[in-house]
Amino acid sequence: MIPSIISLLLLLAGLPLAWAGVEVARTIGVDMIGSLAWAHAIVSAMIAAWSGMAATLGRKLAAKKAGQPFFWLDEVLRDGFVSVTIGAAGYWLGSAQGFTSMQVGTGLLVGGYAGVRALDWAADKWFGAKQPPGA
Amino acid sequence: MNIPRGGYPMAARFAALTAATGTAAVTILLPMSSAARSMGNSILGEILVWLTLAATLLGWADLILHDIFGRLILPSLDMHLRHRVCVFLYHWLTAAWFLRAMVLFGSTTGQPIERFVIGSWYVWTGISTAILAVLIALDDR
Repeated sequence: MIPSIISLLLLLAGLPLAWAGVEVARTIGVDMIGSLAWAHAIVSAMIAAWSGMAATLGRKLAAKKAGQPFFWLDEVLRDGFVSVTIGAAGYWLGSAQGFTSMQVGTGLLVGGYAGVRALDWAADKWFGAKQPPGA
Repeated sequence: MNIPRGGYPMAARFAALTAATGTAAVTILLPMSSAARSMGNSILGEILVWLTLAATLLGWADLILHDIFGRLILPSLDMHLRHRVCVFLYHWLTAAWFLRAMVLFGSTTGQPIERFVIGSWYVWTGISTAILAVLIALDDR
């Protein structure tokens, strides 16, 4: 119940914060924002991390169906590391090739998820790691 | 879908769907709006907006049928698969917010300060929707 309230409050707080942001922005020099390349890179990392989290959630649901234990911290750390590493490489490659932001972002989303799933497959195939059925 | 009825979870999903539907509708209906201009003319952007709109329609159908009328969409569907679809729906909405923010931060349309404020709102809403997606995934029902 409490996390749901937090989620709801965050969503509802978005609009007044955006309005407050506009008001504050009027007093901030444009130079402080610059080209927003740092924001671009941060959001890229968030996309890659979230795509890895999608794979984690999928395994969590599969583990729940199979009645198996699920170790959140281990899984999230592993998937986060893999997806952000793949994302960083994808961001660099996409930028070097002159891809648009939408192309790079879509690539990060697909690459982060596919990278984690590929790691699952490789661990299962070569190292005999136990994966939840349907994961 | 396999999620609790009413209360704060329903209100949170209502807020998330309202934000996503509103932004997608503004992007489609108002080509000169900040939301539309920031997406540029890319075909991937068009696909993103329409997929988001389709996801929100499914979310609204679930919210109205399940939470208000107490009925399920396709009752014969496996409950586990139903839950996964629901989680995927909110996962997609989160990804769409982040993609919007990334495109906006990488574009050159408008003033940097305008892009910064609107992009920050996208990120904020994306993080809120991400929390919701995780909560739905953790729901034991």
